[in-house]
Amino acid sequence: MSEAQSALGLPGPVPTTPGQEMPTEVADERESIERITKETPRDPRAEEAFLASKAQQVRTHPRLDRAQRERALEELTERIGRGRLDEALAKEKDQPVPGGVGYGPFYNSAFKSGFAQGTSIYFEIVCPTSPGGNVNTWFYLTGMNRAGRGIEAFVSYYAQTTPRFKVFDWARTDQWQTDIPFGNLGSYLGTTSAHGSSYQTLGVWNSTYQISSTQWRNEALLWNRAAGRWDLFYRYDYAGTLAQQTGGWIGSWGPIVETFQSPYVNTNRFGALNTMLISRNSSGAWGSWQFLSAANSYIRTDNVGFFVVFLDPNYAFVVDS
Amino acid sequence: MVAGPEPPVPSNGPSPDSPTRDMREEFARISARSGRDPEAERAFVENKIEMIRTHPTLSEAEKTAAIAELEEKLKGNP
Repeated sequence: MSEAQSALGLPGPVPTTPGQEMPTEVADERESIERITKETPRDPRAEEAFLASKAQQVRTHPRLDRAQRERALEELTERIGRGRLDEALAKEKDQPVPGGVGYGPFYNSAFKSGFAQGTSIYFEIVCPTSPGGNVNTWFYLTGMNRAGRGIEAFVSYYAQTTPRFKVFDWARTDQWQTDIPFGNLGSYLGTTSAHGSSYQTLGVWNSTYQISSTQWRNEALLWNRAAGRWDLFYRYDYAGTLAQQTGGWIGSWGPIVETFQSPYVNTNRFGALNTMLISRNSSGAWGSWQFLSAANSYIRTDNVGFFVVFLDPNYAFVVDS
Repeated sequence: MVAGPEPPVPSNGPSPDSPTRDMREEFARISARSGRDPEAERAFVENKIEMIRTHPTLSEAEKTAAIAELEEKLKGNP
């Protein structure tokens, strides 16, 4: 092969014209490579993983719409053969799948720490009574108010069983607290309209704020639609510092779809609407509620099969698969 | 009710000074019936660690610090 200068000034190889002699000496190593290849035992597990991974990439590609994913999967099936692909996918199911974030906003670091004596979040969790699709393990719709020792008041699905509303309190050693089946939440579950569709939602408001020079409080309320009032259902007071609340990673996620498998297929719609936060300054004064914006948060998606139905940056989103 | 913020105004409507009710006992009573689920609790924690490990923008040092923070906070988890 001869060498030529690329536009970047770097030497690069120039392929020869078929039928012409190689311009420089070339060693033919085909036999030795073939011999080594034959001596190397095949690894069926690695080959199956390769095929399954291709299917996974197609099913979860963030830039392909539903039809494009289907077409790409058809092409892959045609090229590989349905039998081989099905076999590879069946074996891949036995492998552990890392958890992650299906979709949702995380706070920018400046916003994460942008409060002094308190922070609070309100959001309406889009939470169908059944997750639908292929959900076969845990699946959360959760969110935090930025405080590192705040709480997660969240909807927890397990496969297709009745979802539950739970509280995990990061300030406690016995973190697991509230655990309410959806059947007991009739007064709180209602409908919110967005982008021409109606969604079953749960209005959750959770706060973390200072109550003395050394004490902080976590508390959570649900909007009782039947009674038209806020119901306080959780409160916990504890010793803490501002640094504990504003520093670190815990508390950095807004309303997210937290996932435990991949890919998700044919699920119902999930998300969050009307996400608002409010901060309390060092004088103890609360500011005003602000919708979560793209200026103070970013969307994380781990490409596990969800499609964005809509995103109002970043205070409202709905996804499905 | 509390020294917290004014309640937000949900899209369907209460006024900011809407009433509140303390339902903690009721929720605690229902929760107590549920019992603990160690497998679910373990999955919750492991998933958080995975969220850190697979975070697209955290550096390795930040991931290490975040996992250490998580483990520190979960030390007392029975």
